Amino acid sequence: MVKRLRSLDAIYLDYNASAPFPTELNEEFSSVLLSGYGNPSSLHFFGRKSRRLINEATEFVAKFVNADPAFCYWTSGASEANTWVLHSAVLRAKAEGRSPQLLVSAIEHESTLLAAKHLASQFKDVRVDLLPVLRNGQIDLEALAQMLTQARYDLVSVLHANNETGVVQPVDQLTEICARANIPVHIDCVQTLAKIPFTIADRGIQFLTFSGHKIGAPKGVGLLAVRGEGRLLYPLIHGKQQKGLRGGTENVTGVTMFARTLSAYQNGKIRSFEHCQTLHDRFEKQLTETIPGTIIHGLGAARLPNTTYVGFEGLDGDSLLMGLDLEGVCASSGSACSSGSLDPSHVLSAMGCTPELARSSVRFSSGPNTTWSEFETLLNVLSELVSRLRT
Amino acid sequence: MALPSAHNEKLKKRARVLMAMSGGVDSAVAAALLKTQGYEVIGVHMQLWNQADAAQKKSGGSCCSIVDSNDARRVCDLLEIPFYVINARDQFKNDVIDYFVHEYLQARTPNPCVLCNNKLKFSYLIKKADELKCEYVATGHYAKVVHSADGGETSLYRATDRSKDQSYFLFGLKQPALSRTLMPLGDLLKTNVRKMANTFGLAVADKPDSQEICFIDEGGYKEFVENNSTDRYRPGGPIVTSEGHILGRHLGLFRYTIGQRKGLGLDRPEHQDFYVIGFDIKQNALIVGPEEFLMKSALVATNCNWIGAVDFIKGIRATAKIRSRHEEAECVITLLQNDSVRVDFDQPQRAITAGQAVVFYQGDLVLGGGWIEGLVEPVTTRMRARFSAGATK
Repeated sequence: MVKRLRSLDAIYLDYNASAPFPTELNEEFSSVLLSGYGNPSSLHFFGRKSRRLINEATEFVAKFVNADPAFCYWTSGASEANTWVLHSAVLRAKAEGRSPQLLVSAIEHESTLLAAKHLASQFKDVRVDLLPVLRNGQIDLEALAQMLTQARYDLVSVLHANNETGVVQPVDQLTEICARANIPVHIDCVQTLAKIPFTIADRGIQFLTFSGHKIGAPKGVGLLAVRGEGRLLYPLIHGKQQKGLRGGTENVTGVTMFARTLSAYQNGKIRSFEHCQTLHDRFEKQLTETIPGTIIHGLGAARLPNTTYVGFEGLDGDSLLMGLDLEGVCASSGSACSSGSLDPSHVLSAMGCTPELARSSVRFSSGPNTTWSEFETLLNVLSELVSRLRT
Repeated sequence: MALPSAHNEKLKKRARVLMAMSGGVDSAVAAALLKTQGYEVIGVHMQLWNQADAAQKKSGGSCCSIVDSNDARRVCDLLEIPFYVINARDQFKNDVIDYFVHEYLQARTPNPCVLCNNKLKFSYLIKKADELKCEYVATGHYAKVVHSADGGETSLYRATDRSKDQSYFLFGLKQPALSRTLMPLGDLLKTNVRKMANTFGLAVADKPDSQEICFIDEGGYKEFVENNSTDRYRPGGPIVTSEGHILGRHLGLFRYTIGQRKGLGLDRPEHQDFYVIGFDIKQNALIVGPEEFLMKSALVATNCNWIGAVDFIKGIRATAKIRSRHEEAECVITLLQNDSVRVDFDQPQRAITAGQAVVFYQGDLVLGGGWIEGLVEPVTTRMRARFSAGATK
């Protein structure tokens, strides 16, 4: 059984943590890797070539997300981009003589939550409030409207879709509420890019952040798209690149492959996530029918087509994950953690879930190449494992 | 007589084994050995203590720092075996840390490593083994587990490497766990284990041995107890002789152990050779006296565990270790009641200390052990009588 771990037979259901590189793009990847070695800042032929790759990528992605390529900045990933947005909001408020006030949802990715926490501890006058969520995992819009009457926030930061539950937030309503109060909004789109049609309207949203590896591009590439003016930003990393706002030689291969991967989804060269919806609907139906005591998180809310986050009452989710791994099934307990520290999910806690149920929860997130037969195997493995773990 | 190896050919090969990986050289080599013997090995690292704290304070020499979990991970990567980190921090806090602090506050000297093995580690690992369909649990302990060929009792023996023997820490193992336990290093010398680590190419080959209690940092146990208890449980009080003479003040009984001489703060030259010989808990007094008062020949132990069947019709002749570094001594064990015993030594032993474990051997065989409750004739002081006499006047 462990053999399957090392072979291609493994069932990979952890796309929300990271997506495999699409093999359809193998040749493209190696050609970019081999030809894009010039420093984009160099004046010679290879420098120009790299610059052109970067520019093309920026233009493509900017168009895809309704942003101005002149105000798109490449980063080392979405974590850097999220940190940068919060950092800039705080510095801007301070520059304008205000005590910075941030409102971040209670279910943000840890990169945002920890950056906010850090800023609040670094600067005494920074206030960070948490925007509560409903039991179904959607942000509480009534609470938002209420909170906006109490404080003049410098930024509201919300995940477009939560990485753990897959719950998609009512971004249009959120931005409308914030626009009325003239509050800048940051939407972390890491989990929605290429998974659901990109319909985020122009109005109201100042910052969008993205990550390459969640769609299969190489790790280490993120994008911050600013709508409006670049002067909203204060650099975290200094250097002359990217208008002096984000120093460091651009990651030519990563950036190019980010755009090419996105383009491949768009033009149908690689399969989309669309069919995942059917798989997950069927999976969730059979799962709840065959295994008692399963609770699917975020039921009733709009969710990503590829995500099922489920609690198995009366067992330990980490044991279930280990058991699944030994059977060749790759899933996750939610937010990936390198140290293996195993505290209950802050997302589920914010949704009012008990610590016991939170600890029993496992996330299955599929991708373009996932098949129903893989889910069938998963259902079989789960029914055996769950009954073993419950005895 | 050569003892059969714990992992002899009678055990089914390709059996799945849950290998407890501390991140040190011993468990790494044990994992490599089991793999080469054909077992399907799964590496597991138990997080016992807050690793964020530990990682900041130490880079090695204790369990549970993130460095150790990464070292264990690297070993498993090299051996191409799965590796998981499991979180037992809550259980460790409840079962080990709280006990540790509580014992000191009762003027006993605890041994958290024995308790961790007996109460937490093996039961937790066996539970995980069941969950992961593992037949065996393996550890890098230096002790021999000998499974009987006919499915009868499993025995525990001292390790071949006497200087590294850890059987003292394992006396609490019970048959259901022991019968599923493998200790592949029992027959090996530590020096050879290090050589094997090099041969296997394990990066931890030169990692120093762990020495201290894993959750105690440079501040020492006293600071730890202070940080984990309220002041009013640690009052200062008198230092007295067994005749009831008050010689000074102590700073809380938890700061002293039986047999301690330094740091008593006694001024008079004739008291410089005085040792801690006992505690009077009711009076919160530290009892001191000359060295010969430390020598005692009988103790009572409770919560005993016997690894195999033991016949108590007559007293049992055995050797006993009253602390991990004690040179064991000849004794007779007499059953008192339930799981309590009286131990009479042939020769008086120095500093028999309540809270420590006493472990019994016959030759290399571990019979079992228990927790030292106290002396058969406890050290007392006349102070109480004097105080109460004073009070009635």
